[in-house]
Amino acid sequence: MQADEKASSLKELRLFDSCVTLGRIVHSRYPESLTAASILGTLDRYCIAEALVHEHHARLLHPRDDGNRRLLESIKNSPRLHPVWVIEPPGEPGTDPARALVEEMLEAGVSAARLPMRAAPPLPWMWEDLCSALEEHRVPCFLDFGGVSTWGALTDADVNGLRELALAHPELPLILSNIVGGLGIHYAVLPLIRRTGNVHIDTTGVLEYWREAAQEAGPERVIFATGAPFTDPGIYVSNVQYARELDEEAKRLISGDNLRRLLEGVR
Amino acid sequence: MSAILESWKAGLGLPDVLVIDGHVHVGAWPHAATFGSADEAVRKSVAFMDANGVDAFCAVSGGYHHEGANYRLGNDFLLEVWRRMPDRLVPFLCLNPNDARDEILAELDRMYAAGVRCIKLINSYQENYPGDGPNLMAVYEYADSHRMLVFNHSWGTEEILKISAEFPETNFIFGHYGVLDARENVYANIWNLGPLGWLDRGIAKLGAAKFMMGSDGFLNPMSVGIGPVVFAPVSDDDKRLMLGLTIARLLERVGALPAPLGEKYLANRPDRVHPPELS
Repeated sequence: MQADEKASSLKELRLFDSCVTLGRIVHSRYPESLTAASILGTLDRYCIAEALVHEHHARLLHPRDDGNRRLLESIKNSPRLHPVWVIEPPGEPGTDPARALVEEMLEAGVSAARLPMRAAPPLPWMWEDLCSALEEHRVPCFLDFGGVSTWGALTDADVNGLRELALAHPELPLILSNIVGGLGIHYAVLPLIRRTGNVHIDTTGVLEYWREAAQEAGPERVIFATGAPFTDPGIYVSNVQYARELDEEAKRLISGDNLRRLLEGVR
Repeated sequence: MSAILESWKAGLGLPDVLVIDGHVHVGAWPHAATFGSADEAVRKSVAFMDANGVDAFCAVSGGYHHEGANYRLGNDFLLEVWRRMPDRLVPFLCLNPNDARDEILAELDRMYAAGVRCIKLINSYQENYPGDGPNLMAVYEYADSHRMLVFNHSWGTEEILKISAEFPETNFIFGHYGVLDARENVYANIWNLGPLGWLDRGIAKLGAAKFMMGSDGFLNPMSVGIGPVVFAPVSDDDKRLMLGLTIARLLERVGALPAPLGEKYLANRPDRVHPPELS
């Protein structure tokens, strides 16, 4: 039947997917691994205007640089795809190695980072140098708590570490990613968002909680993501489009304009 | 071009399409109540349906089917909500197979007398009671003799092969996908956080008639169940099957399809959507 009130037009939302994993994923549940060639067809199918993409093996294997470089090569002719590097604190402590890594990333045309929190947990003393270097350039950072897939979870220690990092680096945009692995989400996520100015969540694995976050903490704190190919974009696209609790402006922010603003802030 | 997809993308919902969400919970739940009262359940569930273009939903009970809870309380709540919106809610009673068999059969009698024709099981969450354990075999026998529809969160492969063969006149629905290719009387509600293209592959292998839309509302928004169906690269005829026609057929067979939907059910059938040309 017809909806009683017209929902947003999908095209007008200008969807910007912040979490797409490229690369061949050898797993029976994911036979359709995304390649640079196939991802554009997927974006078109779901009316997604553009996407941040990272490389599957860069999330899983060292040296991460192999996957990060492979990513750049694979998307070099695809202006709708924007690269994200997976990075972690350099082995050598100090500001110089961290700054060198961030500058290398920016020079390669990469304006967002994915920080693998399961491999390198959010211990503030360990991330201090790299977060300082990233903050100097206002690089949006996706704090990735997922395992092989987008399923993940937060511990109390994670939340405490995140709080310290967020308060120590207030100009660094931090986006919690892959923080759901079934029913429920850590109780402290929304309290953390409300007590900091720079913590966001993306929508990978999150079907309801993102609305609560948008209503309680503001729509500018929520970033659209599909988690493809680990989850089907049709689930998330429709979820945002038909969210009756949010007005058109809030949906546009969540769908893509928040992410565009963060990327435009990189310097 | 898919007219169904274009309407959905334009924000219009699903005009002229029969849409029945086949997997919705109302009532108490371990980690959150869906609604605080029957009044709220009626008011908000209607609003959710109207916003998404959904005609009706199958209420597969509430959290009273979880371990140790008195499932009759959940069924009481279900009846209360159903009586206030009989045209838009199809009740699926719940039970706990760990209860005494006499108690289970008495509850089946009570709910059948109240007009309920569909059963929701979730034995894997109830001390993992076997899907072919003696009390559930008694439930299937009851369903078979009373012409009822049976829905379960999940069955094991051997279990569904056994029971679907033993009760060929009863239709069985998996709550979250499942083993479908062996029996004509086994179907799947689609809801799960499936990977890219999972539904496409299922349709390609088994045909759209095996699948029916569901969202696991009102724990989730209804749109998350609709999205994968409307974006599937299949014909609008196939989308109509998954959005409502197949579950409507199964409900009609057991006398559970709300009467006001009968006409729309007929109008959505392929022979009415594509009438034969007059020669």
